[in-house]
Amino acid sequence: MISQEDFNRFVENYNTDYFYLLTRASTGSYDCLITSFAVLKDLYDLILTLHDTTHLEFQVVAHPLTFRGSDAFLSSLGFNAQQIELIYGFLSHVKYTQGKEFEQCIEDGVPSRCAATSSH
Amino acid sequence: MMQRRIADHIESRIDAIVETWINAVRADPNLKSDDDLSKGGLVDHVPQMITEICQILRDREIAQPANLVEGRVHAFTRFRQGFRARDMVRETSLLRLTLLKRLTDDSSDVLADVEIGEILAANISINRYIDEELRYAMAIFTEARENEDYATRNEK
Repeated sequence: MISQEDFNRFVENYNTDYFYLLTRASTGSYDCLITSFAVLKDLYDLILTLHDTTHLEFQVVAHPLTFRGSDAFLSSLGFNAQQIELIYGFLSHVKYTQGKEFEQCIEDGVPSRCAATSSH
Repeated sequence: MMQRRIADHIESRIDAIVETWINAVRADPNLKSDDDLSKGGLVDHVPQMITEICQILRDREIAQPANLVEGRVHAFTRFRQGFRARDMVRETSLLRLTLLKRLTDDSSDVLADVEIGEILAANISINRYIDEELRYAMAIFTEARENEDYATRNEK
Protein backbone atom coordinates (compact mmCIF):
# COMPACT_ATOMS: atom_id res chain seq x y z
CA MET A 1 0.00 0.00 0.00
CA ILE A 2 1.30 3.45 -0.87
CA SER A 3 2.27 5.48 2.18
CA GLN A 4 1.23 9.08 2.82
CA GLU A 5 4.86 10.16 2.44
CA ASP A 6 5.10 8.46 -0.94
CA PHE A 7 1.83 10.01 -1.99
CA ASN A 8 3.07 13.45 -0.92
CA ARG A 9 6.21 12.99 -3.02
CA PHE A 10 4.12 11.75 -5.91
CA VAL A 11 1.96 14.88 -5.79
CA GLU A 12 5.02 17.10 -5.37
CA ASN A 13 6.57 15.53 -8.47
CA TYR A 14 3.34 16.06 -10.38
CA ASN A 15 3.27 19.71 -9.28
CA THR A 16 6.90 20.15 -10.33
CA ASP A 17 6.20 18.68 -13.77
CA TYR A 18 3.07 20.77 -14.10
CA PHE A 19 4.98 23.94 -13.22
CA TYR A 20 7.68 23.01 -15.72
CA LEU A 21 5.11 22.64 -18.51
CA LEU A 22 3.52 25.96 -17.60
CA THR A 23 6.97 27.55 -17.62
CA ARG A 24 7.53 26.22 -21.13
CA ALA A 25 4.18 27.64 -22.21
CA SER A 26 5.04 30.96 -20.60
CA THR A 27 8.02 31.31 -22.92
CA GLY A 28 6.04 30.39 -26.02
CA SER A 29 7.74 27.02 -26.32
CA TYR A 30 4.65 25.10 -27.37
CA ASP A 31 6.25 22.21 -29.26
CA CYS A 32 4.79 18.86 -28.16
CA LEU A 33 3.44 20.52 -25.03
CA ILE A 34 -0.06 19.13 -25.53
CA THR A 35 1.39 15.63 -25.55
CA SER A 36 3.14 16.32 -22.26
CA PHE A 37 -0.04 17.68 -20.71
CA ALA A 38 -1.96 14.61 -21.89
CA VAL A 39 0.58 12.38 -20.16
CA LEU A 40 0.39 14.54 -17.05
CA LYS A 41 -3.38 14.15 -17.02
CA ASP A 42 -2.94 10.42 -16.45
CA LEU A 43 -0.89 11.21 -13.36
CA TYR A 44 -3.47 13.72 -12.20
CA ASP A 45 -6.30 11.21 -12.64
CA LEU A 46 -4.31 8.68 -10.67
CA ILE A 47 -3.77 11.16 -7.85
CA LEU A 48 -7.51 11.91 -7.72
CA THR A 49 -8.39 8.21 -7.76
CA LEU A 50 -5.90 7.39 -5.01
CA HIS A 51 -7.23 10.23 -2.89
CA ASP A 52 -10.82 9.28 -3.55
CA THR A 53 -10.51 5.57 -2.88
CA THR A 54 -7.90 5.25 -0.14
CA HIS A 55 -6.99 6.78 3.22
CA LEU A 56 -4.49 9.13 1.56
CA GLU A 57 -4.86 12.86 2.15
CA PHE A 58 -4.06 15.98 0.14
CA GLN A 59 -1.32 17.09 2.55
CA VAL A 60 0.22 18.44 -0.64
CA VAL A 61 -2.47 19.75 -2.97
CA ALA A 62 -2.21 18.81 -6.62
CA HIS A 63 -2.48 21.78 -8.94
CA PRO A 64 -5.63 21.59 -11.07
CA LEU A 65 -4.73 20.52 -14.58
CA THR A 66 -6.64 23.18 -16.43
CA PHE A 67 -5.61 26.82 -16.23
CA ARG A 68 -8.06 28.62 -18.50
CA GLY A 69 -9.11 31.92 -16.97
CA SER A 70 -6.90 31.36 -13.96
CA ASP A 71 -5.02 34.66 -13.71
CA ALA A 72 -5.04 34.62 -9.92
CA PHE A 73 -3.72 31.09 -9.77
CA LEU A 74 -1.02 31.69 -12.38
CA SER A 75 0.04 34.90 -10.66
CA SER A 76 0.36 33.02 -7.40
CA LEU A 77 2.78 30.67 -9.13
CA GLY A 78 4.95 33.66 -10.00
CA PHE A 79 4.05 34.26 -13.65
CA ASN A 80 3.81 37.87 -14.77
CA ALA A 81 1.19 39.33 -17.11
CA GLN A 82 3.23 38.76 -20.26
CA GLN A 83 3.96 35.16 -19.30
CA ILE A 84 0.30 34.54 -18.50
CA GLU A 85 -0.61 35.89 -21.92
CA LEU A 86 1.76 33.38 -23.52
CA ILE A 87 0.29 30.58 -21.39
CA TYR A 88 -3.18 31.47 -22.62
CA GLY A 89 -1.69 31.69 -26.10
CA PHE A 90 -0.96 28.01 -25.79
CA LEU A 91 -4.70 27.35 -25.52
CA SER A 92 -5.26 29.16 -28.82
CA HIS A 93 -2.31 27.28 -30.30
CA VAL A 94 -3.88 23.96 -29.33
CA LYS A 95 -7.22 24.95 -30.81
CA TYR A 96 -5.49 25.98 -34.04
CA THR A 97 -3.22 22.95 -34.41
CA GLN A 98 -5.46 20.22 -32.99
CA GLY A 99 -8.85 21.54 -34.03
CA LYS A 100 -10.28 21.23 -30.53
CA GLU A 101 -9.94 22.79 -27.14
CA PHE A 102 -7.06 22.00 -24.80
CA GLU A 103 -9.36 20.32 -22.27
CA GLN A 104 -10.85 18.08 -24.94
CA CYS A 105 -7.39 17.15 -26.24
CA ILE A 106 -6.10 15.98 -22.89
CA GLU A 107 -9.40 14.23 -22.20
CA ASP A 108 -9.14 12.34 -25.47
CA GLY A 109 -5.59 11.23 -24.72
CA VAL A 110 -2.15 11.65 -26.19
CA PRO A 111 -2.30 12.99 -29.77
CA SER A 112 -0.84 10.70 -32.39
CA ARG A 113 1.60 13.39 -33.38
CA CYS A 114 2.62 16.53 -31.57
CA ALA A 115 2.33 19.95 -33.12
CA ALA A 116 5.79 21.42 -33.58
CA THR A 117 4.71 24.83 -34.74
CA SER A 118 5.46 27.26 -31.96
CA SER A 119 4.49 30.75 -32.84
CA HIS A 120 7.23 32.21 -30.62
CA MET B 1 -33.80 15.68 -24.34
CA MET B 2 -35.45 17.63 -21.55
CA GLN B 3 -32.22 17.77 -19.54
CA ARG B 4 -30.62 19.34 -22.59
CA ARG B 5 -33.42 21.88 -22.73
CA ILE B 6 -32.96 22.71 -19.05
CA ALA B 7 -29.19 22.95 -19.53
CA ASP B 8 -29.57 25.28 -22.52
CA HIS B 9 -31.93 27.43 -20.52
CA ILE B 10 -29.61 27.69 -17.51
CA GLU B 11 -26.66 28.41 -19.78
CA SER B 12 -28.54 31.24 -21.46
CA ARG B 13 -29.02 32.81 -18.03
CA ILE B 14 -25.45 32.47 -16.75
CA ASP B 15 -24.77 36.21 -16.57
CA ALA B 16 -27.93 36.84 -14.57
CA ILE B 17 -27.28 33.87 -12.29
CA VAL B 18 -23.72 35.02 -11.59
CA GLU B 19 -24.92 38.56 -10.91
CA THR B 20 -27.54 37.29 -8.45
CA TRP B 21 -24.92 35.13 -6.77
CA ILE B 22 -22.47 38.06 -6.48
CA ASN B 23 -25.15 40.17 -4.82
CA ALA B 24 -25.96 37.36 -2.40
CA VAL B 25 -22.28 36.91 -1.49
CA ARG B 26 -21.64 40.62 -1.05
CA ALA B 27 -24.80 41.00 1.05
CA ASP B 28 -23.92 38.14 3.41
CA PRO B 29 -22.52 39.72 6.60
CA ASN B 30 -20.95 36.44 7.69
CA LEU B 31 -18.81 36.13 4.59
CA LYS B 32 -15.44 37.79 5.18
CA SER B 33 -13.01 36.23 2.73
CA ASP B 34 -14.45 38.06 -0.27
CA ASP B 35 -13.95 41.55 1.17
CA ASP B 36 -10.67 42.23 -0.61
CA LEU B 37 -11.62 40.61 -3.90
CA SER B 38 -12.49 42.50 -7.06
CA LYS B 39 -15.59 41.43 -8.95
CA GLY B 40 -13.42 39.38 -11.30
CA GLY B 41 -11.57 37.79 -8.41
CA LEU B 42 -14.82 36.91 -6.70
CA VAL B 43 -16.46 35.48 -9.81
CA ASP B 44 -13.37 33.37 -10.64
CA HIS B 45 -14.54 30.13 -12.27
CA VAL B 46 -18.19 30.32 -11.26
CA PRO B 47 -19.47 30.85 -14.85
CA GLN B 48 -17.38 27.89 -16.01
CA MET B 49 -18.76 25.82 -13.13
CA ILE B 50 -22.30 26.57 -14.27
CA THR B 51 -21.34 25.63 -17.82
CA GLU B 52 -19.88 22.41 -16.46
CA ILE B 53 -23.10 21.65 -14.58
CA CYS B 54 -25.03 22.22 -17.81
CA GLN B 55 -22.79 19.78 -19.65
CA ILE B 56 -23.35 17.18 -16.93
CA LEU B 57 -27.10 17.67 -17.35
CA ARG B 58 -26.85 17.26 -21.11
CA ASP B 59 -24.74 14.13 -20.84
CA ARG B 60 -26.94 12.78 -18.03
CA GLU B 61 -23.81 12.14 -16.00
CA ILE B 62 -23.33 12.12 -12.25
CA ALA B 63 -20.91 14.67 -10.79
CA GLN B 64 -17.70 13.01 -9.65
CA PRO B 65 -14.02 13.98 -9.43
CA ALA B 66 -13.46 13.12 -13.09
CA ASN B 67 -16.01 15.60 -14.46
CA LEU B 68 -15.62 18.30 -11.83
CA VAL B 69 -12.77 20.07 -13.59
CA GLU B 70 -13.86 23.70 -13.17
CA GLY B 71 -15.20 23.05 -9.70
CA ARG B 72 -11.79 21.81 -8.61
CA VAL B 73 -10.06 24.83 -10.14
CA HIS B 74 -12.42 27.11 -8.25
CA ALA B 75 -11.88 25.36 -4.92
CA PHE B 76 -8.13 25.31 -5.45
CA THR B 77 -8.09 29.02 -6.30
CA ARG B 78 -10.10 29.85 -3.18
CA PHE B 79 -7.64 27.80 -1.14
CA ARG B 80 -4.73 29.72 -2.63
CA GLN B 81 -6.56 33.01 -2.09
CA GLY B 82 -6.64 32.24 1.63
CA PHE B 83 -10.40 31.82 1.89
CA ARG B 84 -11.67 30.52 5.19
CA ALA B 85 -13.19 27.07 4.79
CA ARG B 86 -16.49 28.23 6.22
CA ASP B 87 -16.65 31.04 3.64
CA MET B 88 -15.93 28.59 0.86
CA VAL B 89 -18.87 26.50 2.06
CA ARG B 90 -21.09 29.55 2.38
CA GLU B 91 -20.41 31.00 -1.07
CA THR B 92 -20.88 27.56 -2.64
CA SER B 93 -24.11 27.13 -0.73
CA LEU B 94 -25.28 30.49 -2.07
CA LEU B 95 -24.48 29.30 -5.59
CA ARG B 96 -26.60 26.22 -4.96
CA LEU B 97 -29.50 28.33 -3.70
CA THR B 98 -29.20 30.73 -6.62
CA LEU B 99 -29.25 27.92 -9.19
CA LEU B 100 -32.11 26.04 -7.55
CA LYS B 101 -34.19 29.18 -7.11
CA ARG B 102 -33.73 30.02 -10.77
CA LEU B 103 -34.75 26.51 -11.77
CA THR B 104 -37.78 26.58 -9.46
CA ASP B 105 -38.93 30.00 -10.64
CA ASP B 106 -38.54 29.11 -14.31
CA SER B 107 -40.28 25.76 -13.90
CA SER B 108 -43.55 27.62 -13.57
CA ASP B 109 -42.68 30.05 -16.36
CA VAL B 110 -40.50 29.39 -19.42
CA LEU B 111 -39.93 25.76 -18.40
CA ALA B 112 -43.58 25.15 -17.54
CA ASP B 113 -43.91 22.49 -20.24
CA VAL B 114 -41.05 20.45 -18.77
CA GLU B 115 -42.20 17.52 -16.65
CA ILE B 116 -41.67 17.92 -12.93
CA GLY B 117 -39.65 14.70 -12.90
CA GLU B 118 -37.12 16.27 -15.27
CA ILE B 119 -36.91 19.39 -13.13
CA LEU B 120 -36.31 17.22 -10.07
CA ALA B 121 -33.62 15.24 -11.91
CA ALA B 122 -31.84 18.49 -12.79
CA ASN B 123 -32.24 19.61 -9.20
CA ILE B 124 -30.57 16.43 -7.98
CA SER B 125 -27.72 16.80 -10.50
CA ILE B 126 -27.04 20.36 -9.37
CA ASN B 127 -27.02 19.25 -5.73
CA ARG B 128 -24.64 16.41 -6.50
CA TYR B 129 -22.28 18.76 -8.31
CA ILE B 130 -22.25 21.25 -5.44
CA ASP B 131 -21.80 18.47 -2.89
CA GLU B 132 -18.89 17.04 -4.85
CA GLU B 133 -17.37 20.52 -5.07
CA LEU B 134 -17.64 20.92 -1.31
CA ARG B 135 -16.23 17.45 -0.73
CA TYR B 136 -13.13 18.29 -2.75
CA ALA B 137 -12.84 21.74 -1.15
CA MET B 138 -13.01 20.30 2.34
CA ALA B 139 -10.33 17.78 1.46
CA ILE B 140 -7.81 20.41 0.43
CA PHE B 141 -8.80 22.93 3.11
CA THR B 142 -8.49 20.44 5.95
CA GLU B 143 -5.80 18.05 4.80
CA ALA B 144 -3.19 20.30 3.24
CA ARG B 145 0.04 21.10 5.04
CA GLU B 146 0.06 24.38 3.13
CA ASN B 147 -3.11 25.27 4.96
CA GLU B 148 -1.37 24.78 8.30
CA ASP B 149 1.46 26.98 7.07
CA TYR B 150 -1.03 29.61 5.97
CA ALA B 151 -2.82 29.51 9.33
CA THR B 152 0.49 29.76 11.18
CA ARG B 153 1.54 32.77 9.10
CA ASN B 154 -1.75 34.52 9.82
CA GLU B 155 -1.42 33.98 13.55
CA LYS B 156 1.91 35.80 13.66
